[in-house]
Amino acid sequence: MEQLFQPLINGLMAGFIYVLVALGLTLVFSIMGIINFAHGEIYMLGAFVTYILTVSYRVNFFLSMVIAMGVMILLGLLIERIIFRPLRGHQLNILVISLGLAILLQNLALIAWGPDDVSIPSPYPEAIEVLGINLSMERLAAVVIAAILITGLHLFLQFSRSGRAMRAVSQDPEAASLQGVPIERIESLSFGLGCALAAAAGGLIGPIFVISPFIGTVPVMKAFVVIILGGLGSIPGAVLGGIILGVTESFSATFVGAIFQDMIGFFIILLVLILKPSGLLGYE
Amino acid sequence: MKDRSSSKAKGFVAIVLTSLLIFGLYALAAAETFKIGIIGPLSGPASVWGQQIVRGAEMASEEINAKGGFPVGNEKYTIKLIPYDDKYKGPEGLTAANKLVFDDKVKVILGSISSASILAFQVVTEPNKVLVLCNSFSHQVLDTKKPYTFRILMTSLEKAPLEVGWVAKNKPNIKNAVTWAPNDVSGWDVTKHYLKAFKDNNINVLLSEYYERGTRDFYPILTRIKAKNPDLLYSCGSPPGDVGLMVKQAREMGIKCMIMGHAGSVEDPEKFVGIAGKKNAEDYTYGTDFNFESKEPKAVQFIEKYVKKYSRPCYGYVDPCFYDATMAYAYAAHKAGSLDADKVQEMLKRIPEYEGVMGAFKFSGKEDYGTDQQRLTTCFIAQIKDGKQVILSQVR
Repeated sequence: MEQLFQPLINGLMAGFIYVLVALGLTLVFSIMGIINFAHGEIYMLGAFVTYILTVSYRVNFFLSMVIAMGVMILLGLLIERIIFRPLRGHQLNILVISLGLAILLQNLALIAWGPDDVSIPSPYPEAIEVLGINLSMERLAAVVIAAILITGLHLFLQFSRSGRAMRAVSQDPEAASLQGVPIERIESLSFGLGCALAAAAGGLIGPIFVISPFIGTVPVMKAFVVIILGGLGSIPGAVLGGIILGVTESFSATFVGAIFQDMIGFFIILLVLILKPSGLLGYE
Repeated sequence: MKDRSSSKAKGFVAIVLTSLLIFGLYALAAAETFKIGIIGPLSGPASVWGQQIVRGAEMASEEINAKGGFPVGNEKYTIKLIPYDDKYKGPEGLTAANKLVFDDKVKVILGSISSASILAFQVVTEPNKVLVLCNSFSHQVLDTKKPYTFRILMTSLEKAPLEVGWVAKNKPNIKNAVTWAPNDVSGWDVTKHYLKAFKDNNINVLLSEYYERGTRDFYPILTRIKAKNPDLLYSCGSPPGDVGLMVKQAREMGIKCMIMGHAGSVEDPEKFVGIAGKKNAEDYTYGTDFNFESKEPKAVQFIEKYVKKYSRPCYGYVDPCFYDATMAYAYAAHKAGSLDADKVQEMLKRIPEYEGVMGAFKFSGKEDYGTDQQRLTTCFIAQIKDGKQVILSQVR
């Protein structure tokens, strides 16, 4: 039984981190219609801000994460205002410039902090064993915090005024504009929120994995897979896609081999997309 | 009037001629510039090693230049370093070599540490007789048909028998092991050497796991490994960050066996402990090529200068390795009395009397590679104890 439950738990834990990174990406896509390749670097910078505050300034880890989210919201607003807004309507240009931004941010981080891997000291107690299954407290906490953030986002989108405005813009920007929704302000808000979620994911992984200027590439690739699997622009889809990807990878690596992990994961996604091209919960 | 004008003209000519003579003499007296190329990963996850190549070469070249350069025959040469980033990849290594050989016209290249890069750029350096002093683990880098490439650090071929031999001698209770490595040429090559060493020492390998570089979550692999219940978990060629993470996650998963790693698995013990956690890192055992607590005068002097220049501790072995390579090249060229590649490469093989920071600059390898172009260096077994590196023994 332990042989089945351990990979399942491993997969769920990994999946929730993917979801958190993917949510920010899908939020930005659904409202602004842009694919932001620099999203992984926002995740990386969120991790570094959390690291610097926790290790250099001895700020409480959870407070550091909240501050990192705030800092990335501000950076996100700046990026949206200065770089993406002038290019609205030119999706290809935005795609290319976001790639350039990703390279720029990565190299700035490399100059600032060097190439070495660093880690945030764990604020949690040691790993525990429950019924033969090993549970890392850091990962457990990451799952709980991710679940809280995902729930919070859902409630915000469903019940808040700004959230309803964001949903209206994602459905039909022209109609929303005619109803008096300030499109530019909503796009800025969604971009900032997307960056905050990426920063939160970055902060959460700090004590679990390592932080370096190069950690942004893999999560953003996984995030793309998740949002395509779940359906572009669908938040429930991103949640489902992230969990499926995490669990699939975990079982593949455990029972077949780590080198087949990505291959099997992508194969399953290919199958899903052949059968349902818009993704699991995407709109046709 | 005429006499005065004539005198003035003569005076003017005399001044110009004297100035030209002084300038010419000065030009003759000034040292020539000798360019040394560097190819290594200066960005990306492996840049920690690439930066070490640059630092080691910088320290050596500054030391040489401070003495007015290195003498070759009647000339003196000051060193100018020209680094290029290969990103640990073949195509970029080839591009860098093309620039260094054809544009910058270098006669010697330090690096790379990437097998893919070196194998790619040897097609440029070998036919153009450019000496390459490199460090990569692929067997194919050295060959009788590649007389201008020298490897200046021991590979897993040389180190695996020493490290595993130490295990067999000092940990007789270890009967079986699991190896894990990155899923690429370097990982496969290194694992092959360790598998042979384990076999030669009668330690049964239960499983050899490989993972894609960039993986951060080793829980799935460790779940498989835990099921095998090995006596020893051995890292074969993974970078320090990966090894630190693996050690941490292994202990979280409840894997209690001995964990050991190849030389290079720990570059900076403090950072390693920071990633793995002090309790998890306790007793992690590994090979290392350089004892940074050495009392040898050259090593002490090197470390003092390094700390002063870079404001960081010197834990890695790549820095002193390429320091030695730069100094040894200059010494070999001086002894050869020439910068001709054939003469210098012949002299490099004949200067075992040259003592570097990491010991004698002695080459061997005819038995394994068909040619004596593999440097033999020191090798130690170290362990993390109470968050710090402790040298347990010298195995070579």
